[in-house]
Amino acid sequence: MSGREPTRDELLAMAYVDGELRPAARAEFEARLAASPALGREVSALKELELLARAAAPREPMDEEWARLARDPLQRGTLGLGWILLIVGCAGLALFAGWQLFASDAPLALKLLMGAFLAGGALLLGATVRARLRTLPLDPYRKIQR
Amino acid sequence: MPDAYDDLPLKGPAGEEYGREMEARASAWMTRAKHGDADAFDELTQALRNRAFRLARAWVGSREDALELAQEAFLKTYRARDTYRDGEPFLPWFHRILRNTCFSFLRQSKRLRKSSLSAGREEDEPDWEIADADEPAPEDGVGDAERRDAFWKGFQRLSARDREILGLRHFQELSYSEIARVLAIPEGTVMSRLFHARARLRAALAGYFEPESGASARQEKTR
Repeated sequence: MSGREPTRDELLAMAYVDGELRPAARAEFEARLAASPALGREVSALKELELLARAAAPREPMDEEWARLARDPLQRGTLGLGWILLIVGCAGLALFAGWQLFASDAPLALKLLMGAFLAGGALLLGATVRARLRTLPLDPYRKIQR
Repeated sequence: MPDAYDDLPLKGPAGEEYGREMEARASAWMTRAKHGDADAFDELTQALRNRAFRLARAWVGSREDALELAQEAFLKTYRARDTYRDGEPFLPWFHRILRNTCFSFLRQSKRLRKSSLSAGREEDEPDWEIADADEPAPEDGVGDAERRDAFWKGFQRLSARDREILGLRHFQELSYSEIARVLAIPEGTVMSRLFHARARLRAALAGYFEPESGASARQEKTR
């Protein structure tokens, strides 16, 4: 499809529909158009495509959409920092509590439960970090800086 | 490029004062931004962001992605402001940044591959096929939803180069000479690319809009 070069009439029809012809050439083309059904069909098809493309053109974003986009990095940054602080705080508190517990005279069962809790937390964190590192090259947003 | 393009009675650059004015204003804003005027860059962004969005939308398909990528292109432009040469036409420079930003996104999401058709075309630069999600964006555009969806289904079957030239013409409504300046190619090449892109779009739409879009048969009659 469309591997061949366009004819002069096809180029003129295209330029006519796109409003690119000089006034005199436009008038001359319109005179020919009235006498040539084939040319008329070509022009109609191009106009139809033009109208369709115009109707389907992406709606321009409203100002609020651009404003939301500008706000988003702040929100994402706040959330990211919040999560980091929460995870570091929880991990630190759990380690400190575990160390205190193991150093105390608490029953063995309690020490084992604390050990399971810490090991479970470490496993989940490790698995999450591993999954993130594996999918990072596919993340389209990782290079976006604001 | 064949001689057929050389002697066409086109209006040429003289008929597009708006485009020239916009180019001059954009270049002036960018020059001021380069020399530290942040307000100038804000004005530049406000003036061009919707145009950038529409072209990004033609490439990446999704409205949300297009918004993000248009924004990212402006951020890259700002970060690269020191490399902008004073008075250099801004729009072609920005177009390259926008295109690279969108293509980089498509590459990272593994939706871009070299077109097998590009080898047979007249230009040395390779063309790219874009794999899109099946669903068109229902929130876009105005008018009849079914026709709009059909248009996007057909449009998404086109290569990156076809989408670019159609996006510049139909979504940004640029004249031939403006497109030629933005893409840094001759007007004859603009017409050639536009002709072939439209023919492929009409072929892609033929299934949806028969018999009105029977492009091939019509083209044969006008030869």
